[in-house]
Amino acid sequence: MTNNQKNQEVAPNFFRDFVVGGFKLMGRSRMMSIGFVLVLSMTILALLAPFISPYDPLEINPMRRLQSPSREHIMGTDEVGRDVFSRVLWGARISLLTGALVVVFSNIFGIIIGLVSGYYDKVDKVIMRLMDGLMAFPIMLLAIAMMAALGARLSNVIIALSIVFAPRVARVVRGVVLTVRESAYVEAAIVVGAPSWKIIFIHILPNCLDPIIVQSSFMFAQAVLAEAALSFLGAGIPPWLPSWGNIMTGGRLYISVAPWMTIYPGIAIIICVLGLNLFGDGLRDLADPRLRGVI
Amino acid sequence: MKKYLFNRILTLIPTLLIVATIGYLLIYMAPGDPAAVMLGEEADVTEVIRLRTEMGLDRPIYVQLGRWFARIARGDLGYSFFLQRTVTQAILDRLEVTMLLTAYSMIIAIILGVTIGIIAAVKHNTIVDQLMMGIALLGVSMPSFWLGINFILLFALGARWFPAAGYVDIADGLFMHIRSLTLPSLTLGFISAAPIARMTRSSMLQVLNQDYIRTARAKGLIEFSVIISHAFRNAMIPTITMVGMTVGSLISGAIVTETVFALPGVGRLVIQSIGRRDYPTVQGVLIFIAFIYVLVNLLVDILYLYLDPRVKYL
Repeated sequence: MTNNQKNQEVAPNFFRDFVVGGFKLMGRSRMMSIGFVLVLSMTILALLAPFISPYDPLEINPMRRLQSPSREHIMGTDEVGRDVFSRVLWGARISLLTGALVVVFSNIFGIIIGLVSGYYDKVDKVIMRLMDGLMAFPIMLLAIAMMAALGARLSNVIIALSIVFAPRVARVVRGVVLTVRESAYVEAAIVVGAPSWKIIFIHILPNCLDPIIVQSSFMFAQAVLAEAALSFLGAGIPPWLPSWGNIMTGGRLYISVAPWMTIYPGIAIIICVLGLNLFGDGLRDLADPRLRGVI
Repeated sequence: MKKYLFNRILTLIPTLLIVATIGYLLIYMAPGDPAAVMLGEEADVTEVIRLRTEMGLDRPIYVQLGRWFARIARGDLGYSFFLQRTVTQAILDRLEVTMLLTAYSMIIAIILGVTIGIIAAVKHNTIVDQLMMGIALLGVSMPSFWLGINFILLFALGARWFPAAGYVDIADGLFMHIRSLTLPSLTLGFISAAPIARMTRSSMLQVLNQDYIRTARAKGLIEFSVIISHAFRNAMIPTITMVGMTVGSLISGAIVTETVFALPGVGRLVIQSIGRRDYPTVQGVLIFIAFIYVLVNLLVDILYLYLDPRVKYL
């Protein structure tokens, strides 16, 4: 095998594959297209919430409290008479925004840490031990403890979950850097005297994009679930904001009289997370055709 | 192998030190002075200052950390003013519930996950396979507390087969004990079964294509024995990795599940302690669970050595 072929194997052009092959594969992979449609429709509903939600999600109406689903309130009303359907729509905005921002921030931190750690031997051991330490805590426990220290606010949920997920990104990125660093074209770049930052960002980083993109969709899914769980435990987004987790927290106390308060936001979460997982599975197949149909 | 074990155990030390540091700093960062929070709002300033000195909060951070490490090494996780007892004691009081819940859930997760995984692999690319994987996918996509609430709705409030909340000690009757933990364990077990099922299926698929399986079939073994004693035995190693990794999510899940079913376990202790700003307890439980988690991972690694003779780690 020539070096050229070797490098091509290490560095598949993800974006070209994605644009050209992505839609082709989506045509072939029914599951991935279903996932894509689910996520897309959730996003559209979230974006359109101000226009399509029939009521103000914060509007209290004691006359209409705990009403079962009807024509006026298709998902019923909650304990203070707020329309559950409107809250689920607005909740999509907060839950999806949280998930998306967690993905962005944990990727930024994770990629920087992973690149530095993989490229510079001297700091590698220290950084990775630190990351191991962070990963030694179960996800929810660390997130809860951080929320306890930081206080229950939307921005803190995003910070806490990003800190929880960043080490996982860092580990993946570092793994790729360690293999790519040995390849001939990186050696060549070093020999011709390219500065380290250029080697890292232009020659090494593009190789990490494949696994990062695949992981991002799973991370998004986990972040949505984690946000819901945190809010449910009372250590997440402040109760008055409608996030999917918060709506269910309110519903839990009224489970025997108003199960719709809990069931519908749960279904919204399942649709969204299921879509992300299906999409992630499809992306992984795209990035690594050897795994197609195996995992 | 001894050398590997020795090295593996040595690497635990920096990890545990970092875990302890993170645990200390997290609460250190919390708003408000820990001593003032402990004594409550009406505390006298001199009282607060005295407690600060007693707790060593007036010393530099590295001295505080050094003391903290020394205390953990002695098994002293601090004192909870709220619970009027040591944090270690508070954890031990509630450990039984959490351990039993985790153990039952793990048994359910393994049985469900392995069965679903094997069936899906054997019926590869059929409607049964898709159905099984659909169930598994649903399991990873569902909030555990939502499933728990629905179980309560269906089997506790609806059918009245199980209690909706609360825990019965084994000493008060095995039947009632099992009954009180059935719904929580099923909730947690089902959620954790999904990754095990996916992993079992994929490793079974790889094994089922190998020559020795064809040989086993060719010599006329019944299919059941081919699948279980020939294929699954070799497909088990990735499954066990997954089971080991599930421990973390089981602990995470236990915190949520204990809250849903009002079980007096360690997870609920954390949540309650956060609510009443009982930081020594939060810190203690955090360290305790992380240490357990690190040790479980060590055990899983050691287990490999016995299960897979190819792994030598020279």
